[in-house]
Amino acid sequence: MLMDALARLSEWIQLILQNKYSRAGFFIILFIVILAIGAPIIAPKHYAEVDLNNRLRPPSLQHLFGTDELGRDVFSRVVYGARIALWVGILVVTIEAAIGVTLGMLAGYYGGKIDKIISAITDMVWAFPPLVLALGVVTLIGPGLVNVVTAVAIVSWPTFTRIVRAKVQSLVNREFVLAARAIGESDLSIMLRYILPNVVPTIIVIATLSIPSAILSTTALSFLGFGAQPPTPDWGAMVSDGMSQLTRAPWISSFPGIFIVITCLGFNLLGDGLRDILDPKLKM
Amino acid sequence: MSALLRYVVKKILIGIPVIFLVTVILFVIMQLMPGDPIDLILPPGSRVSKERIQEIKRSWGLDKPIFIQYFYWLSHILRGDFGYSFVTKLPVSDLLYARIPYTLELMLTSEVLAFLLGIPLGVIAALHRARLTDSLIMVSTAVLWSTPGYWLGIMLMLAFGFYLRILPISGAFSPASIVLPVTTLTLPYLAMVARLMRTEMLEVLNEDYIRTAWAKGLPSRRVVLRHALRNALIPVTILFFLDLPWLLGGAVVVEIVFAWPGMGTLLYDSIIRQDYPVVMAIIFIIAVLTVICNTLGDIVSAILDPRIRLEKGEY
Amino acid sequence: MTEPLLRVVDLKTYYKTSAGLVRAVDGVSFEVYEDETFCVVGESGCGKSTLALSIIRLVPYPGEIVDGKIIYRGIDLLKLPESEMRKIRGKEIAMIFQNPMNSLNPVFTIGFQIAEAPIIHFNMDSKRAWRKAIELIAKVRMSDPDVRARNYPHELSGGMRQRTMIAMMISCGPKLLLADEPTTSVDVTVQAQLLKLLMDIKKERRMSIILITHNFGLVAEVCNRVAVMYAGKIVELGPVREIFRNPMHPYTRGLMKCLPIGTKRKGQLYTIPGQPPNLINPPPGCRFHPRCPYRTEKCRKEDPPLTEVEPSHYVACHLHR
Repeated sequence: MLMDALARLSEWIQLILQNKYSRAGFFIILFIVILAIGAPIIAPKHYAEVDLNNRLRPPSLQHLFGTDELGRDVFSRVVYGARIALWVGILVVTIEAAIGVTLGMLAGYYGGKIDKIISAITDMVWAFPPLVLALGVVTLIGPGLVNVVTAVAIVSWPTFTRIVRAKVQSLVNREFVLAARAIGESDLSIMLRYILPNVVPTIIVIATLSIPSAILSTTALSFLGFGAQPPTPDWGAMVSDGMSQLTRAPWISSFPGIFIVITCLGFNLLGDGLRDILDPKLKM
Repeated sequence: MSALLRYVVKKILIGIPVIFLVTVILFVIMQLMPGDPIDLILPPGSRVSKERIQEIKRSWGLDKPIFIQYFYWLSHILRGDFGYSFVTKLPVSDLLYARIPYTLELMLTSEVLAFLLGIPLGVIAALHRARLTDSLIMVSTAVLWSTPGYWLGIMLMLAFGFYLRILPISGAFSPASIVLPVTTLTLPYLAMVARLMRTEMLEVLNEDYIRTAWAKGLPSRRVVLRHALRNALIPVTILFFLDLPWLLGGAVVVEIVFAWPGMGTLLYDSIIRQDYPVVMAIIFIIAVLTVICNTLGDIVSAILDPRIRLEKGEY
Repeated sequence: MTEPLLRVVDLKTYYKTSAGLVRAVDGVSFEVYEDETFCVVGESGCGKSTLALSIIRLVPYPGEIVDGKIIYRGIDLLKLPESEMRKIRGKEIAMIFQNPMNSLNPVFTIGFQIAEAPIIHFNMDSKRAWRKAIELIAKVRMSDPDVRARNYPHELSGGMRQRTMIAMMISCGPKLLLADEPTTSVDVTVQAQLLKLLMDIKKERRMSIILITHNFGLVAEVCNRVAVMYAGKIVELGPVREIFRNPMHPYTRGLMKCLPIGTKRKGQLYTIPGQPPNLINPPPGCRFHPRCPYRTEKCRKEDPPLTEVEPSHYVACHLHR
């Protein structure tokens, strides 16, 4: 089973590397992952290290991206910020997927009343502006990065539910499911053994394409002050920090933003490539 | 009654209970919040006579059981009376009426521009598939779509407001004030519209009925613009309505960055200052707008796509 | 011998796919005369659809007509610029397709879609074109034509959609109609009706039909002359009666044996052994030789040309030279 999965994985990677867009995305993400993992080695200083003698210095050899109001090295903060961006993105999408896929499966498999209720809730959450809803949640539960992760995940699961539901509906009347039912297999077993594996490729595509939105939403909330608290080097918080010195030291706000663009671009390109390979008809 | 009319009426009739559901949810949340309900109507610390307090209690049904209170509260809400702001002690509705036009101006301008520019861009990309034009459009839209609105706004501020001092960067004092906020809100959205249009167009151009159109000897302009585009535009047009609420989220951030005096800045300020009556009122308005936009989206989709008007059971 | 309406000379249409070059039509030549029903019969994937699409020059990407001549009424269609070819499509040469479910534009009424070709080709004004559309709807034997004209395709059954296709395509009075498996995707009961409709229209307008099918039974019913296609080439060609009376190519004989009616063996249906050939790497020599019970050394090396073995009866086989 493991060899099977590994073989398929290497097949996918080959396909990813063939398409020029997804290849670019793959390498961009690789770059960001390396930054994140290697932060302690790559970053010359610790992200919270204050140096009041070197405040607001422009980019130079010692400080590739300059320094901020407290003399912290912007480059180091951006590199450490990659860690935050990645784990936040992945965490948000994981929670979203857990909620969304479960609900989508239940709605698509059982149909009827369960479907009606789940679909109604899903449509309502999906229609409401996500950022406003997340703001509302954060207002209720308070600021902080973990709360922001929760808030964004809570408002974004409908994407998974809608698509998974449709996919499950198309599978639920196929012969192999009917056959499994006929021999008395339990619903849970059928869902996990027969339906879920067929939905996994689609889930992978949705997940990859959802990471950029997760990063954009969480950094936006951090930008507004509801997310990461200082000195956490969240890229959105850094952009906000730099606003007061925008004209004197534009590098403080510029570089974190550039990295947000790069990271999101990477996932978007990779996600598009994965979509072409795994589920070309998917529309998000 | 024609199928279309039936469908429209049905959708409108569904929308109304949903709005009521929203009011119920909001009411419940209000009750769950800490503090005395009367604070939401009459800010603490206001100097008001005992009779006035009694009057308010009666008017809002605060002396009655919760279920009845809801209806009193609802009657106020539906008349536009959202109580008074904690901070300014002024009626919330006044604040809202001052702000809503600015937000609408920002949102609608951006939405219209995004579609006006995005649709042709997507069509061009589709028609030049796999050539240089398409690649350029695909790459630039991918980058724009990955750009955070708040950062884009700041960069544009820097470029056009500071280095080239040609555009104002905050407030709404001059006609040119709207340029940067609209640009910031429009660009990423335009990118999405263009990509969607391209995808839809490519899909439609591969359909059998387009081949039929070619086989009839129709000129390519007619096939592309009349047969293909008409179909490809359907999902895109529906999105025009369905995405308005989503765009509102982006508008909130843009307003804050540019100090644009709309509902977004009001919402943000109110959250920070814990001015709950204002927050609740804005959420309510947004919820109602969402329901209206979704209903409009459903109606438009039925107008554009004859297949949607059918009841279950017809072909 | 009258001048043929259509003369196809050594037509080659290939698809440049990522898997390789697919030689869908690899050197096909035949003639079609006025007022005749010419059938092209063969298994799926033998290139017959591509042949039809080539004649009307609608070969989809990544396909391309790479060689040959298609001479219609004296003009080589392959040399025409697209703007000229457009005037021929729908007006002189028309095509109806296999699957009617998705072949009609869902957002326009069928009246509109039928009226379009006359509006474009004859500059007809829309009122007149609409009336003509109603006439055509009646002509293809659908009831309540004026009500029908306002229907949308999704409101019609498969059979009615196919009739709409027919109405659309005969609206400008073409002299040649290409019909790619027109009855395959339709109910059996409707198939016979559609066929009769086509034949009646053909007789009335003295139209020629090139009928693409995999169904030999159909060939026997309606065709004048038939070409049997295999792996991108024509292996046998001649009048229908002749071919049925005396099938010469082993493939043709195999196809005949597959017909459930008229076989002496009761019980098991006969199938031609082997797999249809790969059009990217066709077998050397005669393409049928791997599956041929009569193959010789020569068959493995040399590709037999299509030769006239009896009057008007052509075969591409080394056994019949």
